[in-house]
Amino acid sequence: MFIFTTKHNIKTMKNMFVRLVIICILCISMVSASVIRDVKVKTPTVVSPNEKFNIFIEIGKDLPTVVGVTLKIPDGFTLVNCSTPYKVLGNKMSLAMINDTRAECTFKAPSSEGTFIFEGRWVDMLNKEEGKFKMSISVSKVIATQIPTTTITPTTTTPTTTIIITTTPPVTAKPTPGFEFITGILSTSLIVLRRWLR
Amino acid sequence: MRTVFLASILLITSIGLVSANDYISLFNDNRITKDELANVIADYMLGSSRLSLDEIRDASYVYIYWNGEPKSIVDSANRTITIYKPIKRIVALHSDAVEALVVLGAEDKVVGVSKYTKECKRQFPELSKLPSIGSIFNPDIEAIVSLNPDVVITYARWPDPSKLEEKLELIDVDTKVIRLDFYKGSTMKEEIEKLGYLLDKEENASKYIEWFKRYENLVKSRTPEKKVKVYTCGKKPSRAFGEGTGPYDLSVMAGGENVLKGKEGYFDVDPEQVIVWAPEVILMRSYAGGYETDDISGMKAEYEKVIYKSGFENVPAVKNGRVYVMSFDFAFAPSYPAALVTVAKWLYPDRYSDIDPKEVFQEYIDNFLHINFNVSEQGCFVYPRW
Repeated sequence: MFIFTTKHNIKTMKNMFVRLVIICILCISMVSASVIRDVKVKTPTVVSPNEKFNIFIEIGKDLPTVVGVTLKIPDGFTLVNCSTPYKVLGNKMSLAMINDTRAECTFKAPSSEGTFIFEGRWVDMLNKEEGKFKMSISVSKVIATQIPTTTITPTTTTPTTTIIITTTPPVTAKPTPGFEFITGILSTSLIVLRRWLR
Repeated sequence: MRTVFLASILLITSIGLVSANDYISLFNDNRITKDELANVIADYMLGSSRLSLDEIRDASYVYIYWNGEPKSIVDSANRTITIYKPIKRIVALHSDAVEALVVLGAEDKVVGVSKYTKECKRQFPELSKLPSIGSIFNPDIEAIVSLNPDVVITYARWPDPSKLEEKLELIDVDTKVIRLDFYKGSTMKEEIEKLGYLLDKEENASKYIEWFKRYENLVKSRTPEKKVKVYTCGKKPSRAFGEGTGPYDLSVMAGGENVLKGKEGYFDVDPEQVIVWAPEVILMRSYAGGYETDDISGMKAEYEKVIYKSGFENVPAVKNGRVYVMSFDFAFAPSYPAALVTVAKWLYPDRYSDIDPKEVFQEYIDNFLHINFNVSEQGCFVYPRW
């Protein structure tokens, strides 16, 4: 009664196996993604001279959060205000994001044109992780190619442009470089394998 | 050499003291507020803080998980212990504390153990590999300080404060001494709850307390009005264990009427007095058995000291074969409920025919100690054997 080893059954078993493997890989990638802290700093890349603009700091993690952020302010820029209490020492500013996932600071651009570097670092006080970030802002009378943002609503009247800033990987975090790439390759291979098994 | 060591420890400590005081000053109004935390974090990020990153992390943890407030308990020596930062490093001066830490799931915080715990390779396969801090009666202060513990856990009575707190205070003000016994049934639940609270292990503490209460209530519900007369002693029958001692507590919680009622502590009695008391059951505490040996001869020898003692042949407990030896590791530790059921069954065998104390003990080992240990095949915990 148990002899059902037909071609159809073998194919069904192979399909189930492939599905199981794909599900396992997806589960692993989801778990990994949830433990990686993601601190993003968003800013316009081009602003006009003397223009006020906002820098957004966003923590990609559920509450609770306690994150310290420091930012080196390039010469000529002025810090106007922040949505959270902040301190300034020389050309550096710092703030703490406590049970907040978003902070917003308003700066005033210098009157002179040029490209300026904003750099800083963040320290997660609850998870022993930290990282650095660096972004460049051009101050220009001519606004070049503009890519409207979908993630923030600018508070200044001037249209903002590209906002994703490069952030270096956390120093003590355990990032998984190329993990998504490998996951993609594996998933694709498994789909091909599944088709081949048919 | 010792002087040089102490001098260097003092120097390092005095440097750290400034920062430690700054940390404690965050609690001036007994609470870290959001603004205070934001302030110290902002200072740190600018490189102008007197607090270290670890201290700021601790303050952040306290703000988020302790509502910004320190944690306080009253320990078993009746002293108020206040903790201002999460406990990360623990020195456990006695094995009962080590066992309690395992029950609470906080074994990863233990950094030093006594020389006796180091011999417990079966019961604590990993923790027995940790550095030794000497014995409970003569703790090695230099060894303790070198492990940089946040807290030292020891018994309520031992060692004397002059051998521990007073010496630690001279060197390291940051280390707190918490006196919790974990060997008496009457205080076990409360002590587990307190330590669980300090270590943020409330869930595991509740799980244990629930298990404890299950057997405590079972024994209460089966204890008859007419109680069995019990005498509790050490390995020598003349060494009585009176009120406030583990064996006395156990005999009473198991439903016995102890003949030593009204007499406190450990003391010698005239064997003639034991004969006069005429206990129906004699319970002996032994150091001979435990997890680490399969050789029952030590417990048997202690048992024979009582049953063959001249004059004792007329004591009801001896005459009726109701003398029992319990291993210290088993009966006076967090495994207490298993011992409670064991003793209750010795006192009232007819009322516990459906209960196998060995199974209760195995349940404890599997669910709380998480070691690969079979009580039916390994160790010696009671004599006569289960």
